[in-house]
Amino acid sequence: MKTKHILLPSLFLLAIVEPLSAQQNFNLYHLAKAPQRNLLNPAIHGESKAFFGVPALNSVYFHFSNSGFNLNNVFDALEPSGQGDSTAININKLTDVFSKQNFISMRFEQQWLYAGFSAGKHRFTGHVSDKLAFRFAYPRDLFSFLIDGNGGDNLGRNFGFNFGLSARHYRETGIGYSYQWKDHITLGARVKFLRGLSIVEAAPLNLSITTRPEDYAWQLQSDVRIQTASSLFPLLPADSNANYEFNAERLYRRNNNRGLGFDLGAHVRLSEKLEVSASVIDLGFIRWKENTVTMASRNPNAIFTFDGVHVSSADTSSDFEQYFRNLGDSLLSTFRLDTMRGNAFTTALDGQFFLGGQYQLSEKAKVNALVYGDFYNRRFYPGLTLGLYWKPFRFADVYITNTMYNRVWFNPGLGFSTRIGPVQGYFTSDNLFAPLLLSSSRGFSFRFGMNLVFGQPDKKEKKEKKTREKLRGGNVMD
Amino acid sequence: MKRNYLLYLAIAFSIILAACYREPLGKIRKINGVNWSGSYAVPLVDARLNMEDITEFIGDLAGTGTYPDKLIFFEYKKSKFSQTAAAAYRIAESNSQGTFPLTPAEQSQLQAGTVSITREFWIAVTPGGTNQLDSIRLTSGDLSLKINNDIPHDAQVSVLLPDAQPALSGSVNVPWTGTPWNRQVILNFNSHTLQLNQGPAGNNQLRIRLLITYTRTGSNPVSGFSGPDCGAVLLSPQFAWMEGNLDAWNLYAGLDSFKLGIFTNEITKGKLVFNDARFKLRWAHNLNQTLPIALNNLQFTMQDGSTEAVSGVSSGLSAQPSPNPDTYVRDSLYLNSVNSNVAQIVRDAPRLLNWSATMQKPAGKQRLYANANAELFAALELPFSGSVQRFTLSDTADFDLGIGQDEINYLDWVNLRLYVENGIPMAAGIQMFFLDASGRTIDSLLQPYRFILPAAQVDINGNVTAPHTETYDVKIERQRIANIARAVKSITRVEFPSAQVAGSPVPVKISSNNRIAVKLGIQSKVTVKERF
Repeated sequence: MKTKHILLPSLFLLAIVEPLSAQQNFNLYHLAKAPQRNLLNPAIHGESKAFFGVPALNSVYFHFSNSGFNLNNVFDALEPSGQGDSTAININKLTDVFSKQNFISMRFEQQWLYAGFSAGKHRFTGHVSDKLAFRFAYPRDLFSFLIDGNGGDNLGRNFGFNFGLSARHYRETGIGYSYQWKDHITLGARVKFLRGLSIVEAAPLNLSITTRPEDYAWQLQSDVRIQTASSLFPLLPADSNANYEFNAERLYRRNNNRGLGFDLGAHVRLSEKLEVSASVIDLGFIRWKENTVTMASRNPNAIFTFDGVHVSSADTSSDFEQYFRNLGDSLLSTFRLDTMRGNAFTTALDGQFFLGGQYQLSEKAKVNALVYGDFYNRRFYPGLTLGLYWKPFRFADVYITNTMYNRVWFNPGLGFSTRIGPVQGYFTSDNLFAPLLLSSSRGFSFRFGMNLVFGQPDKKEKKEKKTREKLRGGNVMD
Repeated sequence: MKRNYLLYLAIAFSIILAACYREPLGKIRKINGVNWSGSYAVPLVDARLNMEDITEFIGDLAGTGTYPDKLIFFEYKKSKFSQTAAAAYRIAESNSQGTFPLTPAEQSQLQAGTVSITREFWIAVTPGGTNQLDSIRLTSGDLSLKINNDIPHDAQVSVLLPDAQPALSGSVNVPWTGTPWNRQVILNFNSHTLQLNQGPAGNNQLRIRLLITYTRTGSNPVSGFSGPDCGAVLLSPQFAWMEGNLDAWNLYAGLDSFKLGIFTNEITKGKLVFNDARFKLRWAHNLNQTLPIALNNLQFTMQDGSTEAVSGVSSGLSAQPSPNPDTYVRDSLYLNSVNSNVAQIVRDAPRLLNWSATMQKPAGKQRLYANANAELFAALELPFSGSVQRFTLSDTADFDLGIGQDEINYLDWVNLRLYVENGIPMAAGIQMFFLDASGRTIDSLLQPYRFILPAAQVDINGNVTAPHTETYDVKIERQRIANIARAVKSITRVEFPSAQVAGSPVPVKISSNNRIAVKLGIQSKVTVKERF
C-alpha cells in the first residue's frame, strides 16, 4: 500500500516531465557507499563512520545537455524524396522539434576538499569546491522566423526571441551537520559560504518582432538586462581604465563577492524495507560587488516600427544615405542600452529539490525512485529516475537507472561504487549510453571520485537486525 | 579463461555498438535532398506625399509652386540678370608725363641759395565711351609717380592730388651725390573721392601737383640742365560710384521662349485643361533713376504652328528709382483671365510662349554705383484648377528584372500589398507592360487593370470631401515572374482619368493640403527542393 503511495505520484510526474536544463545528480543520490551523496541531502550519508576525500579527486562532475533536439527529431523530419527509398529533410518540420524555450547547459564541479565523521547520533562534514555553470536559453520562435518566415500564416504573429544566458563561477565552503532522532529519523543541514569569481547573467534578453498584416510593417521590441561581475576584471564592455592583466592569484584570494547558501534534508525509515528522504539544496545568494557592469535597456519594451522607406514632404529633399543613417540612429535610440558600473547586485543560487524513496527487495537488491526539480527563469523543471540497486559483491555496488528528463524517456544510467579496505571509489553517469544512443541522446553527465573511509556507522545495529531477521527467516541487506 | 571472457565482452560490446549506430547511419545515408518553404514579408515604402512632392517627379515637364491659398500650380519661369555697373563701366588704366625746366628767375633764386617751384599736370580717368565724369569714388587702385632730376643740388620733392578727398600726397628728400637721380612715389586710392572736372578739358581729368625745393649745394652750376620731369601711371582703379553725364545702358534686351512640355512632350496623351493660366513679368533693380521697360512680342505658338498674341500688355512700363544702392525696387506685370486673353489661349494647350523685353538705364547726369544691376523675371503659371480628360503619361525604358531562371524556380509567388489613402480629387492608374526582344507584349503588371489610386470624393465645386482608402494585393505567380524576367523593355503608363461627380465630369482644384499616402509591402513565398 505504501509502495503504491509513492509510485502513483511518480507516474504523474513522469507524465508531466519537462525538459531539464540544470544540474543532474540522479544516480549519486542513492549510491550508498559514496559519501558525496550527502552533498545532495545533508541527512543521508555514505556507509562509513568517517571519511576523507582524496584532495581534488574526491568529486569531479561534468554535465552537458541540449534540450533542443536530437538525431531522432531530425529523422522525424524526413520524407520520401521521390527517388527510390531516398529521403529528404523537410526543414520546416525541424521547427517542431524545439520547445518554446530550449537550453544548452554545461556544468563542471571540482571538489578540492571533503571530509566528515560521526560522533554518536551526530555527524559533521565539511567541503571546499569550485562550481562552474553555463546555461544558454534559445527560443523556438527564432527558427520559426528564419525557416517558416514572417509571411503567410505568420503575419500578425508575435515572434518572441527570448534568449537567456547565465554563466557563473563560484567557490563554496560548506559545513554540514546531521542528527539522528528517534532511531528512524535523520535531519540534516549545511551552511555554505560562497565567494563569487565571475558571472554573466543576461535575463531578460528579449527581442520580438511582429509583421503587421495590412502593410507588412515590422514592429520590433526589446528588453535586455545583462549583469556581469568578476574578481579578475570587468567582463564587458571594454573599459579603458580597467586593468585586464590576468593574475591567477585573484582566483584564490578572498574577494568581496560574498554569499551564503543552505541545504536542508531529512531521511525517514518508514519500515525495515521502506525509506524515504527529501532535501532542498542551494537555497541562497551571492552579492556581487567586484568589477560589476550592468547593461540594461533604457526604454524596456519600447516599440520601433519599420514600415518601409519613408518618402514624404520632408524626405524628398534629403539624400537616402542620410535617411538610412537617421533610421539607424532612431533604431539605436529606441533600443539604447545604458551601462552602469560599480552597482552591486545579488543573484540567487539555482535551488534544487530531491524526493527519494527506496524499497528493499532482497538482501542484495533494492529499487528506488527519485524525483528531482529545479527552477530557472521562473519555470519549474522536473526529472524522474527509477533505479535498481544491486550488490553483487561485498566490496562493490552497482546501480542501474533510467532517467526521464530533457524530453527523453530513455536515459539508461549507471552507478558503481567499491570499497577495498579504506579506499573507496565511485563513478556515476545519468546517461552512460549517450554515445551509443546517438539518435535519442540530448545530454551526458558523469561524476567520479575517490575517498578514504573508515568504519561503518551502524555496524552494531545491523548486526542485531540481522540476527533478528534470521530468527524470523527474513532477509536484510548488509 | 579470463582472457576469453574479456574477448567475448569486447565482441558483445562491438555488436551492440554497431547495432546502435547502424540504424541512424542508414537513415543518414538515404538522405539525398532538402525540402523547405517559407513566406517572407518586407515593408518597402511608406510614402506620404502632397501634390508638390508628386509634381517633383515630373519636374522635367514643369516646375511647381503653391499660392498663399494653398492652390498648386505648374510653372515655367526664367530670370535674367544684368551685369553690374562695375563690369559694364571699367575705368581704363592711363598714363601722363610732364617736364618742368627752371625759369631764369628761379635759377637766380637758386644761385642765391634756395628756390621752390610748383608744377601741375593731368592724367585721364575715363570709363570709355562718351561718358563725362565729374567725380568718382575709388575703392582701390594706385597712382605711380616717377620723378627724374639732373639739377646738381639737394632737393626736397612733394607730390599732391589737390582734388582728392581726403588729401593724398607723398614726398621724398634727395641730397645731391654727383649724378642725376630718379625716385618713385606711389599714391594708393582707398576710399578717396576725386574731382575730375577741374582740368582744361572739363571732365575725366585728375590734377597732379608737384612741389620741389632746391638748396644750393657747393659751387655747382644752376643752369644748363633740362630740369625735373614726372611720369604718372594710373593702375587698376576700381570705383564705388561715378557721377557725371553717363551714357545709356541696356540692362537687359533679348528674345526668349518657354517650351510648354506639359502640353507638348511625347509621353503624354489625353488632355489637361488649366482654367486660369497667368503670365507674370517681374523686375527688380537698385539704380537711383526711373528705368523704362518694354515687353514686346508676347505671344503663344499653338500646336498647329499658328500664333496667338497676348493682350493686355501696357506700353508705358517703368521701374521707379531706388533710394539707395542697397535697396532693390520690385514691381511686376500680371496678366490673367481678367486683364488679358492669356488664360483663354492656354486652355487650347499651346506648345510655345515667346516674348522679348528691354530694360534700359537712360543717358544723362547721374550718379551710378558699382553694384547697380537689374533682374527681369518672366513666368507662365498654370494653377491646378481645371479638368483632366484621360491624361496619360507613358514612357518606354530598357528593362531587366535581374533574376535568373534558377532563382525563379525558388519563387512560388510574389505579392505586392498596397495600402492607399488618396486625398487628391484625381484618380491615378499605373500599368507596366513588358515587351520581349521582338517588341511583343508578353505580360503586364496589373491583371486585370485597375486604378491603383481611386480619386478622393469631391463635391460639385471640385473640393475634396473625403479621401479614398483601400488595401489590395497584386499577386504574381511563378509563371508570370518567368515571363517578366524574359522582358527587355517596359512601357510604364500613368493615367489620370476625368474627375466626376455622379457620373459627370467636374473641374477640380488641387491644393497643397491634399495628400496621398501609399504604403507598399512585398511578400514572397520561397520553395526549395534541392537534391544532392
